[in-house]
Parts: sequence; C-alpha cells; structure tokens
Amino acid sequence: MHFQGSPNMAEKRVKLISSDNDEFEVDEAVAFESETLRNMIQDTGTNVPISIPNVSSDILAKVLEYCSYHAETMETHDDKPPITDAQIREWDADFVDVHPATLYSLILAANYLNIKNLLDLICQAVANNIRGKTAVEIRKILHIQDDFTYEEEMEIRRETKWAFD
Amino acid sequence: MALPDDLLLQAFARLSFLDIFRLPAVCRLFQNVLRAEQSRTVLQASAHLQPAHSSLMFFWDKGGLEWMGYDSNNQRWNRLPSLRLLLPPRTQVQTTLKKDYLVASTGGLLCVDVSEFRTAERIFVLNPITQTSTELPPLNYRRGPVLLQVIVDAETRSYQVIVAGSASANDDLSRKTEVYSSQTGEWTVTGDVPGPAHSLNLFQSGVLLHGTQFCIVIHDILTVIAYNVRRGEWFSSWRCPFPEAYYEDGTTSTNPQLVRCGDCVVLFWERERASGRRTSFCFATLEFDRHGDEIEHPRWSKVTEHSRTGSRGLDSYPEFVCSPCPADPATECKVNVMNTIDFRKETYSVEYSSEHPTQHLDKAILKEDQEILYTLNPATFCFEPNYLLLVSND
Repeated sequence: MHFQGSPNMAEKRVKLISSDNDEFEVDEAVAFESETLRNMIQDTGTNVPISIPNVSSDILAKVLEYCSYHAETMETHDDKPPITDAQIREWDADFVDVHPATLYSLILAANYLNIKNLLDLICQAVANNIRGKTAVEIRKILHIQDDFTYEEEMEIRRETKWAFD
Repeated sequence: MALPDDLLLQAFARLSFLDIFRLPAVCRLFQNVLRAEQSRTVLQASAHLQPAHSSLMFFWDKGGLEWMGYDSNNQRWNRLPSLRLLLPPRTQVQTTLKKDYLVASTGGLLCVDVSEFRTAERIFVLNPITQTSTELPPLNYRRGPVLLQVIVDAETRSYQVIVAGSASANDDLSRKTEVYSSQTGEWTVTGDVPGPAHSLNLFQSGVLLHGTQFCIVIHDILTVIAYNVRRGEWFSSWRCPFPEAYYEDGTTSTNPQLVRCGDCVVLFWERERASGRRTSFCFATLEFDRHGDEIEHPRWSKVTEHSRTGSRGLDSYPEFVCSPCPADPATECKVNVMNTIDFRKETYSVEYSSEHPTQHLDKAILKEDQEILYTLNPATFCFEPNYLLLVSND
C-alpha cells in the first residue's frame, strides 16, 4: 500500500512501516506534523524506514490523511485560493465522523505520534458524542459494557439523580 | 477498546460539570478516572466550560435541598449539583413564607446557615462540585448573624467565613463580627460593626471585592460600610450613604441589594413613582479610591433607571433578586434580575438607562412536588464550579 502525499520532488520522502508491516511513503513535511516522527527523523534521517509498531495500517493511513491535509493547508499556491478555516473545520468534522472503535484507535495513535491538533480534535469529538447524554446512551454510543451490579447501579442513580432530571 | 485514563480525562475535560456528573454512572472505568486525585486539576483547567450560574433558586425535593441556576453562556436553566447529602435533611414541615436559610457563595464554595432558631446558628460550608461539606463550630457569640460571606483562597485551597450582626435583640451582640479560618479551624472575634446597635439588620451576603467586604447598614439613612478582611476590622470613617436618587421626591425606593459586577460594587433597588404608580429598577455603581489596604472617597456614579411593567415587588421575599450576569464581557456591566415568584428573569445594563424592559428569557419551572425555598437574604451572587476545593471535617 502506498500513500499519496503531495508530489513535490524537491521534498525529502519518509518511509513508515505500520504494525502489520505495510510501508507508507510521505513527504517529510507530512511526517513532521507528528512530533514523535519529527524527533525520530532528526535522530536517524530519512534513509531508514521508520517502524511504528503500535499503529495498524488502516489507522496509520487515516492519521497520514490528516497530516497530509493539514500540511497542505500550510502551503501557499499561486494558482489556488488558500484553504479557509471554515473549510478546515468542515474537513475535520468529516474526518472524525467515524465508528467509536476507529476514534479510540485514532486517539491512541495521535497520542503515540504526538500530533497535538489531531488529539484535540478527537477528544473534542468524543466529548461532543457524549454531551447531554444519559449513562445508557453513552454506553451505547461508545460501545461500553455496563459493569455495575444492580446494587451499585441503584446507589449511583440515587447519588446522581439530580443530573438526569 | 479501553483508552488510557489520561486520554479519557482529556475528553471529559471538554464537558460541562453537568455532563461530568453523569459519567460515573456509565462504567467502573469512568468512575475510577473521575475519582482520581489528579483528575480534579485537569477538570478545573477547563474552567471556561464550567459556566458560572446566576439567579440561583433553591427548592425542596422529597425532603432534600436542591438548586438550579441560570447559565448565561448557553442561555438556559440548569440543575446544580445536589445539596441533599451535604446539608441536614429538612426537619420542619413549613416555615413562614417558606423563607429560611442565610446563604453566600464565592469561588465555588457555598456557605449556609441552616439554623431553625435565628439566635443559634448552624453554619455549613460545602463544595457542591466535589460533594464535600463540613459544619463549622459554634460562634464565640451565638446569635444568628445577619451578614454571611465566604472567601476562598485558591492558592492555599483554604477558606474563611465572615459573619456579623445578630438576629437577637441584644445590643452588644448586634455589633459582633467573627471570622472563621479553615486553616485554624476556629472563629476569631474581630472588630465591631461601627455605628449604632442593630444598624446591620438586613439579611445579606454583601459584596466581597479585593479583600474588602461591603454591606448595607442603617445609620439614620441607608449606608454602605466596608470591612478589611486582612486586618479584621471595619473601616471606621469610610461610609457611603445611599445616593440622593434613592430618596427622590415622589418616589418610593425598596429592596436595596449590593451586587458584585466584574470589579464594581453595584447597588440595585426597586423604585415606584407616586404618579401613575410607574415602577422601575435602578442601579448605581459605588466608586472609591484604593491605596493598598485603604479605601477612600466613596461616591456613587450616575444612577441608571429601567422602566418596567407591573407593580412593585413584595417586600417579604424579596420578590426581585439581582445577581451578576457572568457571561458578559467586562466592558459592559450587566445583571440578571429575577422574579422569584413567577421565575421570570431579565437582563439589564447597569451603565445605560432604558425605557423598555429588556429580554424575557426562559423561565425556570419547578415540578409539582418541588417546593421553593426563599432564602433569608437575596442570593445576589453567582455559583462558579470549583473541582479543587475539598471541604471536610478531617
């Protein structure tokens, strides 16, 4: 699998290897969106492929899609109008409109790769998903098992009843 | 598919305290994350998402005390964290005019005198957000104070409680002022209220601003006096009689309340004109010079008046309670005036007069089996959530 970054030949390319041994090649500017990758590249250069042992290829592809788009928004082109903040927000909103399992994997990847904006974006998305919801609704949305005993459940309901009125 | 606690907490910190209160009911993991000591610092850092609530309303629900407040950011009434487990349950069936309890709040703490007998106080300090509370020891002079204020020091996470005046008939007790410190766990008797006996006889929490406590007393005429918290004494020569407009010919002024509006002390009152019985709300801002610990040259800025429809409010509740409108930028002082009988709340500018009543916002409505508690003093303050303060007996 190859990831299509912006085809700027003057740029250095970086090779990344996912946990399931897929290789990705992106522009250095795209990889630099990740603080972790930036540090690694500065230590070892771009000649050696960088392995990312705890991010699977489907999640890494998503993360690189994010990095690539955001690296691009930083560039200026003479022939294209700049990307507006509203467009970026819309793109971001679409990006996090995914299954909670994917969202969870993305948070872990964003945390490991230290991509602050992506981490913020996803934490906000998780928060938005559960805002104003009841405990039962939140369990459903985030696919969480109810692990309380009946007695515990009754106790919690008694303590937090006011918050659900 | 579990997330590490710190990442989960980062998502939680983006929610309001109301949402956060619902989370422990989801699963054990959520419960444990929120109970962890370090979580409170992270949650407090999201203070901008924890809006202050004004126009506070207390009510009984199945024997427990509950409350709600108006969130000006989101323009809605919210239930606030239950007080049921933090205060003793209601023992009496009904008080005269459903009126009881002296309350004050700053910095996230609520201070309540729940005594049923106005001469023997029972004062509790509580943090509704951390669901902690403590009953303070009895005062040196047990007397049912009329002024109650709580002061929070965020840095040392400590608090003080100021009480002054007395509901008893004893002249000597009427001037007593005492301060409780959470660091010593004791009440200290400080300087007496200046002026005649019983001059401080209006139930109130007054206004606390930069270490100075302001309150309303009667020295022949209504007057604002001030107390220096650090020195533990009242300013003996600083007094600011109410503005002349309060006593304007052909008008009746009632229900004066001091409200802190940003860094200003604002006086609110109701006015009725004899001719045509036209009613209005009036505001004047208290101005003074500050030199370190000293305050000088008290004076009132221009009075603003807002005409309104309807008759004068009842004196007994009081019907109208003025409290700060926390969402507005500091450039314009705004306050919420709430009618505690029909629960209508309106927002007024303190700086500009207006001929027409301003917006009528959502009403707060109680359920049939809930019963309003009118506090003895008007709740002229906001409640600002605080995750860091733990208040407990140990």
